[in-house]
Amino acid sequence: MDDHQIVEGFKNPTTKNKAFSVLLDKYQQRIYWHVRKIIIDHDDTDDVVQDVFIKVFKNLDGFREASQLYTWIYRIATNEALTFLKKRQRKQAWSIDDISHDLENKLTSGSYIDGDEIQVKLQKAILTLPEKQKLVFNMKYFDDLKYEEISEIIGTSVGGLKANYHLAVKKIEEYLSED
Amino acid sequence: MSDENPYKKLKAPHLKKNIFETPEGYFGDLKEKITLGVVTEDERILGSEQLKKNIFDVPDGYFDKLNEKIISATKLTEEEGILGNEALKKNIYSTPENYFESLNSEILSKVKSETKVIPLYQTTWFRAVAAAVVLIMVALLSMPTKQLSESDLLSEVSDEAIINYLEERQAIEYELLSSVEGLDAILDNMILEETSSYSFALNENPELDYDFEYFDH
Repeated sequence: MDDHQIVEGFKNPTTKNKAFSVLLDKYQQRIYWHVRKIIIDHDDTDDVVQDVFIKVFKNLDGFREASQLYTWIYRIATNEALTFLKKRQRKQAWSIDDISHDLENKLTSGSYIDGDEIQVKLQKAILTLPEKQKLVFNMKYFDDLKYEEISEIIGTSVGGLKANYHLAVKKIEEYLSED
Repeated sequence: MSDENPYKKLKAPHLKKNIFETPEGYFGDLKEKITLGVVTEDERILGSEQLKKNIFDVPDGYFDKLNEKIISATKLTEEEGILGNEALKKNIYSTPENYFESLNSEILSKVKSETKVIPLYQTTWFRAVAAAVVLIMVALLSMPTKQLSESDLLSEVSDEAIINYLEERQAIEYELLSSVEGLDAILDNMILEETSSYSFALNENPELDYDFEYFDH
């Protein structure tokens, strides 16, 4: 079942559940890892990923395939992950620094993390980036998405994304070179 | 009649005669001088062919690889830099055992229960609460105006206090709404409307660029 067939299948009441189940099998892991790199903590990610797919379920009827299905889901996931962090920040009356500090703590002491020193350091370096650079870097470096696809997901021009990516790479290389 | 046409005189042929002269044999010497100047430059120390020999050397096969190097250097720096290390791409995060197997069914069960519950809240609860909130706000707003004017009241409060109050109130609203059982769905719904309207807007107008509110400044 390709994406188009999933969308069509979802619009038909008799195949709706089947189509959604296929969509879940196809995308849940990619979306999970995308959100996980933003939120770091497994349990928080679990909550957000479920919300993302519930939102997909509620809105897929209105999806007209102006963009690709997976960039649309990525877009919802990105927005949900950022909203999650903002909500927490607001609830705890935290500053942005507090948030990055909290995420860094989870990176060093959290569960379900298994990387050597340099790999963890890379994730820490990513946490120091401004939001947009962080998103672009993750999607380009780890997920191998094209700039055009990232542009559909976070709504920035390809030129702007390239600039953000280069800035991110530069900062990360600097961070990794420090002792 | 020269007054009538003053330029007529310039047409006289003898006026075009060159009145300047050079010393005798000048042009013959000039050519020689110029040639000599050039030659002497060559014949000085720097004219020595030996000096022109390139004393610098490159490693074997250097130029064969140069092209390749330049091309790769113009590509993203990650190719050559620290980030080119493939080990860095390793996913260091993991999940509890069989997490993805259960995630699927968990989402499916939530989706089923939500589709039944939500319309009830939308029609009754949500409207009732909204109406109550409006009534309370109207009551609150109309009360103090009987005693003092708004500007009198506000002038006594510092800007900072107002900002703090508003921020606090927003936080309290979230707390209140999320702590009341059954209202979670309403809150979710409000957030959903806030955050997902872009997906509809985008579908209607694909060219529409939705802007996220980023943390970066």
